[in-house]
Amino acid sequence: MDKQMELLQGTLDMLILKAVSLGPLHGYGVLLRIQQISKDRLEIQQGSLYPALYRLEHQGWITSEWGESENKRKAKYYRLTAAGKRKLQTEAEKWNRMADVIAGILRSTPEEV
Amino acid sequence: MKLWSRVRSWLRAVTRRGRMESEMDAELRFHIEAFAEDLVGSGVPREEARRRARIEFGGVERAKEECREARGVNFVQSIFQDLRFGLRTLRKSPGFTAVAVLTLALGIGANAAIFTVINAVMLRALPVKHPEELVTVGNPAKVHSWGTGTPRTDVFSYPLYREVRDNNQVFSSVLASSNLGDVRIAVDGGSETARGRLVTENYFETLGIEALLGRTFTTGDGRTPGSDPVLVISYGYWQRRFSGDASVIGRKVRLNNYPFTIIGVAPPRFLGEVVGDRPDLWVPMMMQPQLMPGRNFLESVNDAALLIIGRLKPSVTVDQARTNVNAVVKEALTVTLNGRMSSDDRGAIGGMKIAVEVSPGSRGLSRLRQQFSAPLLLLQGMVALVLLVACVNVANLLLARSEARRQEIALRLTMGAGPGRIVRQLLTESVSVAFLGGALGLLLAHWGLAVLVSLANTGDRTSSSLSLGLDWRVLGFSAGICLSAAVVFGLAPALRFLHLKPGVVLKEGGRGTESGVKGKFGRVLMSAQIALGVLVLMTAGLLVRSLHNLQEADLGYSREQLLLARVDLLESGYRGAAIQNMTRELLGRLAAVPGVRSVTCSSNGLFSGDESSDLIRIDGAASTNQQDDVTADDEVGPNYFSTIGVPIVLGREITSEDFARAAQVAVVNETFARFYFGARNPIGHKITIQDSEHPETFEIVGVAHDVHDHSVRDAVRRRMYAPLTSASFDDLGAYNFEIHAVGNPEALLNSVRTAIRNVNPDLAVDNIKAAADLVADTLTSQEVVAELSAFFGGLVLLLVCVGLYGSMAYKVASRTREIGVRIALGAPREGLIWMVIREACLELAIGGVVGIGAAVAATHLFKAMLFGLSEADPLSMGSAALAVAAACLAAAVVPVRRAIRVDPMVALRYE
Repeated sequence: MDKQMELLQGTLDMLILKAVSLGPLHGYGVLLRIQQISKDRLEIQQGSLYPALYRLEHQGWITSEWGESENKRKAKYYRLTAAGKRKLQTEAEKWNRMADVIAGILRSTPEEV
Repeated sequence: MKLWSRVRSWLRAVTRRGRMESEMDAELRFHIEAFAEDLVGSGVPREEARRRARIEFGGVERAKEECREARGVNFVQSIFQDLRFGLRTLRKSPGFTAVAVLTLALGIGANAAIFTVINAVMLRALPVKHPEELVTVGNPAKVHSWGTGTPRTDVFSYPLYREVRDNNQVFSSVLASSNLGDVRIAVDGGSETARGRLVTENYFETLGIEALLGRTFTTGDGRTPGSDPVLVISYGYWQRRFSGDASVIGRKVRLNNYPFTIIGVAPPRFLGEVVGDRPDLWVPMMMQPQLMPGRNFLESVNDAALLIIGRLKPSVTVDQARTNVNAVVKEALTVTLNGRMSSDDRGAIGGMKIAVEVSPGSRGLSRLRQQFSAPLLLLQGMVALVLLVACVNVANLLLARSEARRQEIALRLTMGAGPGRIVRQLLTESVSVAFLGGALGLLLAHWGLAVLVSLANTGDRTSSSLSLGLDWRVLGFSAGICLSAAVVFGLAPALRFLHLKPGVVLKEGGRGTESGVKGKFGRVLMSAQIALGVLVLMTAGLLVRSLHNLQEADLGYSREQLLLARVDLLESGYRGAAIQNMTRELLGRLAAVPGVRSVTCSSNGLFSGDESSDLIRIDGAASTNQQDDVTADDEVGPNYFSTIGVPIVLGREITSEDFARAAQVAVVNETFARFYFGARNPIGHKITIQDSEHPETFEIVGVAHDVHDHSVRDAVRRRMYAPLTSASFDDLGAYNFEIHAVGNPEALLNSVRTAIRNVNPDLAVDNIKAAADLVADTLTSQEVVAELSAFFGGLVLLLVCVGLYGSMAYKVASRTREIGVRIALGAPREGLIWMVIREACLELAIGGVVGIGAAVAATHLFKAMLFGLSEADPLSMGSAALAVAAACLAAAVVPVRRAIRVDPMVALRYE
């Protein structure tokens, strides 16, 4: 297993939006989904997950409702809203642009400068 | 939409707090348990799995707290926390809380009380339908101001009103009304008086007032003169006179001896369109001739007494209304009504531009507004200063307290409270104190208003006719001053904690050293307080002394022994020569009353509010400026001047012989003589009353000493006096009898009344009053202002005294140890006293000088209210400074005594 990386500041919200965009999830499910997609390479503070979820819901990007979990227990499921979908799109674009720019800078060689 | 979702989630979080908490619990528990399950699934023992799940999750409480934060719950939560904490700290120091709350209550209460009156008189819209659509036409306030405005357009005659009503294009309807004064009303036989108002039949309709009971007038009423003897009574009168009996509708009563029927009761909130004049009943305009027998104003272009209020048509502006009304009035005065106008009015129209005032009328009209606006604003200014002194006091208290709280605050800072949080907490405390003070203040204001009204009630009944209720404006104002007061007195002490170094403070232990900031800031506060105190007291002194000067002013005659009676002969049914005969008979009968030295009569009387003036020519020559040809005048009976006690400085007075031979003679006053003749002798010159219907010429036979006959304050006008029988004056048919008593005039009241009744029991006697009372009535507003300002001055003095005492006591307390050491080392007591009061003396000097300077600068704001003294009146200045100095001294006595009695052993052991 690769060594886990610490999450960059401000990216947790984006990852949560992405995770729930693939289908409704409860809090623990969000954690699992992110770990699964990232192949366990990201370290997520479990405690910080919920404040982020509450914040996103407060801002209207996601909504929640109570449902039944896989093992027949009551759990709160989060779902992406239309506004959240747009938000995810713009955030992702921003992130990609930023990543390109940073990568470009890091790739630069003495001749290019 | 995004904002809405946030508000919704915040509201849900705040209002359904319990539910959110339990859901949060369930959610986090589910997470940990699910995680543990998974661990169990991967072979970890159950107990161990639970433990690891909890550890991996981290602090559950912290996560919850962050969740709450994310929902904005904490902000509200912490405000409640602050409030609870603040109230608890306040409860823990009841002494501080009581003094602070009471101090603020006095300040806020005074402000709320004065503002309530200002609101009622100056700000509040009439309680009618869409008051913003109303405009007033003309300006009744100008009527007595002599020679301003075009004739008959400040108040209107009925024919001119009719022209405006029928020919304007800007009003959806326009009403006219006029004061009927006291009318005699007979219900079931007995006769009493009530205040009546003559109104056009569209009055209630225009204002949008519907009857509480029965009906109001409709346009069907009062189509023709005398046709509809009906009246609407006010709610107050209905309650007072008829005990709210519903069967009052249809009741027959007699008004001024003419039969009327009550058709309706007005709603309680409606007190009429003139703020401060609260009529008991309304009568259709068309009944005017029946109510005032002998006078028909409905067809007279020359009798103007109507106030006009119009309701604008939709989307018509006040400017458009003004243009239109002026065009209509101009047409009426120059064409339609011109032929019926008196020649002096016609002459005036020729020489002047017609300018009718048209102004927004949502607040209705008001005599009180004109009379009391300036005094009320002055009083509001004074109570604002009272509040400021109160705030300084509380700031001082807080400052002293904050020293004691340094430990607590330092501890809280070390425990991780942010400085912003600390300031917020302290401000919450200040706001709580302010609102407690405000609530108590409103109670005080409620009680104080009753006193205020009774103070203002010495003269007529007007001031009790205001509706002085609480409304949103008064409440908003009070809340506003509470908040600003809290910021003023709370912010400075609170901000001082921002720079607190917790480590240093905690190391000090309980000692608490006198910090430089407290010292300097405290001293500035003390000086400011002294300055404010001097400012308020000096203002009060100026007003009280002005009142005294007004009351003692030399009127030119002795008011102490004069009694005045006004008899309306026209209303009593007398006409023509019968009026003259009855006047003569009354003069004879009154002169025969025991205790009467002499008696005379005149048309205008003294301090009666009646005034007249005419255009004149001296020896047939007109001056270049028409204004110069106007003189005040009066018609007087025989021996008028000797009866009243006015010295004749040249020539002679008008005597019975002049009356016997119907001599055309006149007496003028000194101002008249000076104005028209300068140093020349006016005796023998001729005055012609030029523009009356019957021009007449009088020969000047005497010059009388100048007298103040209608106002103590105003400059004496030039005036001529002609014999009462002259045909050139409009015969008003109501005469004032001036009775010179041998002793106290009040003692003659009943015998004079009886004497008049013995002549004819049906004579309409309007008023019998001592001249001194009539003079005093004109000084009511001055009196109220002087009394209130003296009261506020006393209040300020008390507050300053309490504040200074607090500061001094604190200073001595914080220096107890030092004083103890000094005494132990043998310092003389006098030196100690000086040490304690030295700073106070400096502050007294600085504050005194600033206060007097500010007062002198401020007096030009109310110069018009001063009388007989200069703005820098040394007596007011000196007594204000002395009073504050005395207050300082009184405040210093106890702390100084405490200082010199410090027992060095105790002081040192105290460490």
